[in-house]
Amino acid sequence: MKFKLIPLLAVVGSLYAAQASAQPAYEATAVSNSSGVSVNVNGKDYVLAASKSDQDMVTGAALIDVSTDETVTLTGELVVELESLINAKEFASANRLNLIYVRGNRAIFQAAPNAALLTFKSDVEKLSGVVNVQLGFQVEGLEAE
Amino acid sequence: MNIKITKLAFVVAASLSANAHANIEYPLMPGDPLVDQQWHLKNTGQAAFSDRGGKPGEDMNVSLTHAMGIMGAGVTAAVIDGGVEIMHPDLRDNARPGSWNFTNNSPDLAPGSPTDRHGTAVSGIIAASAFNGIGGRGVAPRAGLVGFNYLVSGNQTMANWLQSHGMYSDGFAKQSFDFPRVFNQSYGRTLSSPRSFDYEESPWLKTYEDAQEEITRTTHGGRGAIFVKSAGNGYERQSFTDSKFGRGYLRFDNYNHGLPLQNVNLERMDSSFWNLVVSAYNADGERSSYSTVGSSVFVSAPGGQYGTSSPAIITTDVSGCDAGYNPLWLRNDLHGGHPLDPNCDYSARSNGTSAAAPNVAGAIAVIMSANPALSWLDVRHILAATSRRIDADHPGVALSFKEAGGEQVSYQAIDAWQTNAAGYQFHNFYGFGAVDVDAAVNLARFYDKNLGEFVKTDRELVTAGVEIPDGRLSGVQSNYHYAQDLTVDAVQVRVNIDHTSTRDLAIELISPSGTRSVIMTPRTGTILGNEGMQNTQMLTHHFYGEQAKGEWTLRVIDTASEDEAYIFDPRASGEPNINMVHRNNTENGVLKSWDIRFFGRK
Repeated sequence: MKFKLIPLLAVVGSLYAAQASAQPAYEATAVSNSSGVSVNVNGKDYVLAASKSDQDMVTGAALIDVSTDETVTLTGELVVELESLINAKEFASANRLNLIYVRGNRAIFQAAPNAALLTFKSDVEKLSGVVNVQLGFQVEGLEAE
Repeated sequence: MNIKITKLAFVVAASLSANAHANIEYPLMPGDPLVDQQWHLKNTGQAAFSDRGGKPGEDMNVSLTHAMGIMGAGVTAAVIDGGVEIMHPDLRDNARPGSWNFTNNSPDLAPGSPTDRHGTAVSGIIAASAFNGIGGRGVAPRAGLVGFNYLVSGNQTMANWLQSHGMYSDGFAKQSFDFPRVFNQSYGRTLSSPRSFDYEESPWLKTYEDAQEEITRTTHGGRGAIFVKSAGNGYERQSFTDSKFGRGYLRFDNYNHGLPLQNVNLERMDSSFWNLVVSAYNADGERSSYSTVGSSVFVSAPGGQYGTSSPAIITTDVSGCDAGYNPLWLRNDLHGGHPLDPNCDYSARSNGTSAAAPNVAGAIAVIMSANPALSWLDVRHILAATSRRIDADHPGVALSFKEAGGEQVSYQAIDAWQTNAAGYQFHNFYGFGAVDVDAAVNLARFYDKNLGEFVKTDRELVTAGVEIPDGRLSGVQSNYHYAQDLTVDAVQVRVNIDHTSTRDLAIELISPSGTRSVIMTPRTGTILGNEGMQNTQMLTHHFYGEQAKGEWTLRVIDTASEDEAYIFDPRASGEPNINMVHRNNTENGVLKSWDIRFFGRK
């Protein structure tokens, strides 16, 4: 009896082993719902997330850095470095910009909700007294630890 | 009479100071019903409402400092977090003008929901009031508090970041602002691929780094401020969102060879010199199981475990038995209306490096209070010089792996405690060690050290162009000679590496004195890192006090030649765990170039 049981156990054991090894093992893949539309923001290339179809990029548009899979969301802010003698409040008033922050020669202007941000950035860049402009964005994944 | 009092005070102070050196144990002064259970202030082996206690003496060591009445008065701490119940009965006496709620643009920082609890817990660890007959107390129970709910969804804009991190707006004076000398940031990210630290491609990095440098170096008449940051909770598992399986956690059945999934240098802002990064230890005086670690950890502080089978941190909670931590799954004995906390205003389950960071923020407030003339650089030095070695016998972590040629080899990925050439002890788990408030305050009160002029050098580019052999312990190296006289505070490196599996890579920096710092541990959770490292930045404090002059060596080692199995746990869906595999790459990598800069003193 014992003699017969051992081969049986061996068969069952090998069946289990075969099942375990047959269980598929997946490779992790990034969530990259890319729309395929490439955009350049602040000098870096991104692709627009598929869920956002607006190529003009409005506030809330999600962008993916395809080399790292990092997603950033446009906040609608324009972070502007002004020439040192320019008063940001007067600058905003003269150019009908919504000033939400100023400290020294750094000012942040908020775009209108559905404004095309690349156009907004380009328009502000052309204004006299502007040294440097970057689109504001939120980098994904910040959480309490 | 004045002369006599001054002399008497000096004698008393000198006596207490001498006693501090004699390691006399002082009890915590009574006056708060939960203070006897706050092991992080004084660990007597109490269970802190969990199943068991820890190891006596493994704590912040505040007793003498508090007994001398040094409790953070005159120093304000900023809590950059979610909402804060600033009118909590144990916080309101320390509330100062300047808090801001970005959600509704008002100074009312009240939590937005019953689960918006994190900021209230963090605030209590820093500065819950003492001697008022309720709850416990903070490390700095007379420090001021302001808060900013930057972490709340929708508030993470650049303007709000600047406003909450001390760069308050000129044109929009919210109200008079009690300017903080310490900023607590109990937040961070989990990363599955290395990131670039490039000012050209990501100008926000420069905006933020410049802001923190300016606040650190120029505020308070040049005495400055300090940004404290949590290291993260990614040692054993990390959150990950997979395209096929959704959100979940990654973990390894072999505990990832004992190595951290998240190295603190993966998070960009943790590799900034201007953040003082804190890891967590538990009531046994060992690394909290979750704590992210690495060479940019400056010090360690209590973060505890989970408050169920072993202690977490007791602190203020959003009021009410149906709010905050009280209704959490797996309650501990304090929760739900304990006689010592009948209104459920406190929690005994706060944990994480989120809890460790405010312990250090409170300690800094106390140190600054003990000697307001100290600069930010002095305070950092005091912490480095007085933090104590814990978990003294920890052997480090050796990674055993099969080389591409088939030979089994061992790589010391995390060293045991090391003493560098300047005599400072350092461990990648704990930085300079566990903060010891009494020792730090003692040094602060009689501080007479001139550290010299602070210097930040330019980045020096080193072209390497050498192949990194796949799965070979020998690795590659590249050298750089620094010719100036400089005492090192920290060293920052950025690397450019072509590689198709960054998880395999260990990166070391070796000083002219021969001290080795592993600035990137191998087998991190960068499972998506198949595009190498482009200007990936790392910081190390390992060389503190050493001389920069001489030959610096960067080594890169590929430590893997086999597939690795791991688990994806879909946390929310209730689905079974999924077997995953990280495929081995067989290509050699290339160390293209790297740059180095020093933060130090002349």
